[in-house]
Amino acid sequence: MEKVINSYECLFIVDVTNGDEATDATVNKFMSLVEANAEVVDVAKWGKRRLAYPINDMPEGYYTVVTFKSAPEFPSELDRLFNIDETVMRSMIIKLEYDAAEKKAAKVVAEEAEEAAPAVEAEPADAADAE
Amino acid sequence: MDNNKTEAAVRAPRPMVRRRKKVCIFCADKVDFIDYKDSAKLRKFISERGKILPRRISGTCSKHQRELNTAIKRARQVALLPYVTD
Repeated sequence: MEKVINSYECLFIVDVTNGDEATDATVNKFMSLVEANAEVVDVAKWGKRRLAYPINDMPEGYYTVVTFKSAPEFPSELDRLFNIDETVMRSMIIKLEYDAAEKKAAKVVAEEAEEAAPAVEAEPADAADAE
Repeated sequence: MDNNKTEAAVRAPRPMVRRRKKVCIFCADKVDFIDYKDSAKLRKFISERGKILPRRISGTCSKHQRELNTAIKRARQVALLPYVTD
């Protein structure tokens, strides 16, 4: 049978009241867990952000967003571990309907094209100035 | 004949209000996936109290309104958007 690989996006909020080191330790713990069990596509550490409403009476949290590809068993296991860890205030894992790696590649291509385009446009403009 | 009479009585003459047809902004921008992380954009679709705006106000199409609902609810779960604001 063919192995099922899905794209997932996971966002978790870590408690910041224990200091920067403790926050980093928790983030790194889960990052290494994801790296060990899944193929990481993208990591975005938003850092400390204000919450739209207080969670456990705390107004701030450390946001991390990880996009990864894995077998369907891993997200439920990850969710279980998030619930056990008390320094994780909130977590959410969603299944992406599109292929995360493909989407990222397309985005990179689009950005490169955008960078290349002004350079091409700049030359005729210079030529026009010279005339 | 009586039918005509009653119909005229029920339907009082109302001034015609011409409303401009709203275009779904997600269709206009050709958005294929509404991202729950883009809280700045989602904020345009919630009221001052934090409620999700109905389609008749925001003008989004049925398909995108459904996706928008999911996105806003996800954003609320992870405290990017408020459930209520007073």
